[in-house]
Amino acid sequence: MLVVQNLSKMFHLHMQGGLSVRALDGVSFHVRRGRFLGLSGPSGAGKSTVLKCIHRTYLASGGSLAFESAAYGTVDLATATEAQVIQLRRSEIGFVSQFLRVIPRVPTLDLVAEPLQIRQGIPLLEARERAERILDRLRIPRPLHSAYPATFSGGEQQRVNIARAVGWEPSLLLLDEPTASLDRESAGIVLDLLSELRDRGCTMVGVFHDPEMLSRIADETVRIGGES
Amino acid sequence: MRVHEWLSKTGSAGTTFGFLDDGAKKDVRRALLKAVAIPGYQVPYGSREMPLARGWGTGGIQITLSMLLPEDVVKVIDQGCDGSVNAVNIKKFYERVAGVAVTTDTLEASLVQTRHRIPEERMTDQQILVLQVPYPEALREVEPSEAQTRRMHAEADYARMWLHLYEDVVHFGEIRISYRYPCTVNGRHVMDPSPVPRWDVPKLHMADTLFLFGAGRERRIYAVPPHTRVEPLEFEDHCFRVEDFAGKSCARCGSTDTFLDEILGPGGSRSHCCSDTGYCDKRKARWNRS
Amino acid sequence: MEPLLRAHGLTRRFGPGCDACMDGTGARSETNRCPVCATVWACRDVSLELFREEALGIVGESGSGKSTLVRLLHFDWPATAGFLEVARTPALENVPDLFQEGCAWSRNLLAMDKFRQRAVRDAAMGIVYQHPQLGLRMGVSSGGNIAERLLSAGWRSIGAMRKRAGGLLERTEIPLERMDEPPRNFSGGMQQRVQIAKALSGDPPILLLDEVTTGLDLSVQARVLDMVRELRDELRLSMLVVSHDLGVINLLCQRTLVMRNGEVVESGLTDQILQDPQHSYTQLLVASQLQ
Repeated sequence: MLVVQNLSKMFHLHMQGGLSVRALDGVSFHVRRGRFLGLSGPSGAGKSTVLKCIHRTYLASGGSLAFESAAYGTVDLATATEAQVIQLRRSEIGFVSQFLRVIPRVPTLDLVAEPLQIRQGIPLLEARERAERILDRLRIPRPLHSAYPATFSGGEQQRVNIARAVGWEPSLLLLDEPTASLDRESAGIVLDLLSELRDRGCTMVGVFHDPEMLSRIADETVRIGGES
Repeated sequence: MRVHEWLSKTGSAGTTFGFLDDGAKKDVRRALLKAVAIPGYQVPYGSREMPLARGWGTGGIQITLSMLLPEDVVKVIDQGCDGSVNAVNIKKFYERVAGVAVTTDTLEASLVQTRHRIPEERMTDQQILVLQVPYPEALREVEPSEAQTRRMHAEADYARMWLHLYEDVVHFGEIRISYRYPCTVNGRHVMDPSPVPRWDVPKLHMADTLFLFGAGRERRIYAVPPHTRVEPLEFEDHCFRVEDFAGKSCARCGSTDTFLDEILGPGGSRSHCCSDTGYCDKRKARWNRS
Repeated sequence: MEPLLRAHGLTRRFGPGCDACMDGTGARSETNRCPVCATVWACRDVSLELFREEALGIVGESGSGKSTLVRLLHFDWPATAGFLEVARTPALENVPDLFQEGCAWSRNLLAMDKFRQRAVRDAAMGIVYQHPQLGLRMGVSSGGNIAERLLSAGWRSIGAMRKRAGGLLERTEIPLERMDEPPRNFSGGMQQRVQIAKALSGDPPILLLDEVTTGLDLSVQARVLDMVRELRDELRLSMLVVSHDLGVINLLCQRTLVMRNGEVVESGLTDQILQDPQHSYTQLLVASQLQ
């Protein structure tokens, strides 16, 4: 599904007098369809950077990211056009970041329902019902469904984030520390949810700082930093 | 009689016929030709000094003087009346400088000059109506800038005039414009038909006669050629309508189908009278005879 | 995603220009005004593509040329140079002689006569300005403001226009009882919403938003932005969002152009511009953000 070859990333920081930082150097791995690939490694090694390069939030400095897309066949995400990336993000590639992006005036339920409506064209009522079930599953209490997530706790925001990304069932899901602020029990629920998603055919690449979490869900692991 | 014959006969040889010099006449005639070629479009021209103050009909006079021949028969009316001071003075002026005959009978005239009314009797394709115009710009009501109104006409950008009418209907239930009702001429230019009442606007549409409009103070000439569409601005659900004289008639001739002036009599009594005095006289004469 | 509007080399200059202009102004300088001949290069050689149903952000500071760009696209101001073409779309069917036989792209819109430019603009674009006075007639009723666009497009039924205006005002959360009131009686946020209603009245495929929430109170800004988001998705509009506020751009746009002193400095996916800015100026902008 995804073949990463020789991925490298350099940051050129002009403000600091032209400082250059090498974040990744020659990373290669591949992910098979319907599998969960975990990225492990020491803090600051560049695991999040890898995910962001796949998602095109970062521009790769070198290497290739061959992705088998439904829309364009096999396409190199590093050099794909902006239009192609937008289309892929809309219908095939999802990203669960560490921070919830809060949209003003949109309550939690609609935050989760919106992608279902927009990406899959599901009508409002049905989208809301599905959103409700996912939020219930992630143990977000009903009263909070109509509240604005800006004031939620870190753990609650994290779970809303996951619900938003998971609801529309992308074919490739990228996860950046999805259980970071969760207690063991909540983390377990999230992992179950992700497992089900994976069993339904979703391919996943995830970063976990906790090796135990990683081992529970990942089919394969790749170590970033310390070795290529 | 040819012009030079007339000049020698009346001992005016050496002066110009019809008061205006040849240069002035050419200027006006060229403007008239252009105006006829672009119906409803305001053509600028060099408005000359007249023995009448600006704002009193100098535009209409310049058009008439540019066209008069000794054999013309001229009728001049002011708000429909042949006998008003201005109408009479202008007729005397034409008699003196061009030797033309004058009349009060619309059908007898070859040229009719008018201020603010169109004669009731339908004019023929052998006649010309010259209208005196105080404000030639139909869009002035919504746009004070001349540069802007010229642009609006050039680009057929008339939305603001339509908006003005829309606002009237929304706020008052009625379009408030009574005279100077804006019309689309030949499907292209929006024109001010001069301060004629709404009653007269339909007379401009697909007529047999040539209509010429002269604004001396504002230095513009425009025209509606025969058989040209002149359509007052109206909405599908709010149509143009003329003044309603139901239940009223002329006290002099009994007419119920002409434009009536309201007359206040002693003790506050009200009666009505035809605005078109020449036509009223004719009707009265016929009535008396029968 | 197919492109709907394409611009190449858009330039707007005030002044004669000289040999020193190129080096003295632009993205690498501190100014857009030539130190030798005082020519202001409000916009220089800007190229962009706007896709169907996408929101493109234009971000920059004062003097960046972002508002000039919008005015050029809306034919408010004539361009000094440049090529602008639009793709075939149902909204433009009635504009005469816009496309050559068999061509998917129009002739250069910037070179056309004003008559046709206005026809294209009325058929394909809606605009919302930062200051409501620029986009609305303050002395005319809000329903009338919307009706003006419809009248320009040839609508001639008052009943039909009021119905459409009423629907749009409802959609932008303006109470119907205030339809016949002039916008000068409204609050700033409400005036902006009337502008949005007016901009959408002709069902345009393209919506231009020039700093629409700058100067509004925070909660009012949130309301307007939320509305714009919803409308974007519901009406499947292509939007060009000009703002100096990176937060607004991030909320509304998937792609962004960064401008400085009249030139485009960087362009790309919005999250990439904000998280992995390449150009030094973009890095400066992103680092200057408050949150």
